Amino acid sequence: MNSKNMAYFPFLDLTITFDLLSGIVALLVSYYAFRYNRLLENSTLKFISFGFMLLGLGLLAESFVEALVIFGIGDIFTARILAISTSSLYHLLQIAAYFVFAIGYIRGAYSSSSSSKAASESTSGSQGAVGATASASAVLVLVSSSGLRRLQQMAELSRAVSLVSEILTVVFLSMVVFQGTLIHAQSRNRLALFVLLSFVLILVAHLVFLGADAFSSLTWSLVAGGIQFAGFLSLLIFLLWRSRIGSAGKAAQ
Amino acid sequence: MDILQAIRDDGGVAKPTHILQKANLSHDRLTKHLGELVDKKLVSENQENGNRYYTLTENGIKFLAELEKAESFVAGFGLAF
Repeated sequence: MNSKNMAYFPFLDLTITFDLLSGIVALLVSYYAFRYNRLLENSTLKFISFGFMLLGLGLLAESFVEALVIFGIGDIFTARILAISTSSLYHLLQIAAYFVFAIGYIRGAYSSSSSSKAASESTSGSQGAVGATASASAVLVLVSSSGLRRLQQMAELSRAVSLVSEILTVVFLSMVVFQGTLIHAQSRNRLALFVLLSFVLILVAHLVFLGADAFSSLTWSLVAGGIQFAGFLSLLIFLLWRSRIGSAGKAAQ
Repeated sequence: MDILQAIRDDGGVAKPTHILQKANLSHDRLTKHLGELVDKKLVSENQENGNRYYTLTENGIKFLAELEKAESFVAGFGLAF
């Protein structure tokens, strides 16, 4: 979404809203996965919780900094540097999040290993995120040296990070969608259909983001943001529908 | 969860034989699990006319509702409960 930072666009406030709401839904999913993991001790729930937490924090951070830039809050130069570095951080968190989902889904489907193995895989997921955060820190160090030339270099680096991030995200999401389709084909669970639909929409959104970044198209970036938001909306419907089930049993499934 | 559901399906109070049938457990396992549920105050044990009954407590009702929500969440992500 680096292309979104390039110039003012009349609907940028809409993209902020999309990111903000998507981030809130992601954190909500993370919270429920964490809560139910304490109850069920299902290691795949740890992956879901951790992945959505990374995604939610990244989306919220990006929407917050974009708001600073667009609404001209604070020094514009500092805000631009912050926007570029936050965008890179978001993309790195995003890669880590979808990597965690892909590992979690594959593990959930194929592995019957013990919880100790799950714990070690969980640690490797955490290491991936730590690596991503470390890379983002390197970006922030570069940013700390002021100057327009440095800012331009940062913008180029951020665009490269964005492109690579979108490619990796598409790869990881394709794995999740493939696995989700297999699972849904077996279970025919209507709740699983909402989750699958959300991952499909998020995958489509990232394909559009990839095109938008490659051609620096703000319009397509907005379209992608809208599709991604629809994906998170599907997750929200899943959460609301699921909470209705409770004592009503499994009739709704 | 099957034990708690079996008691709830019987109106919140059930005989061990009913629970045994619905939860599809061996007698030993049922006795063990019922003991754990009584210890955790999710189920209470009562005696009436020489018959034993198990009643779902308030905590048990809340815990079962939470378990069912967790189960539907996990099923949504295609995971086994």
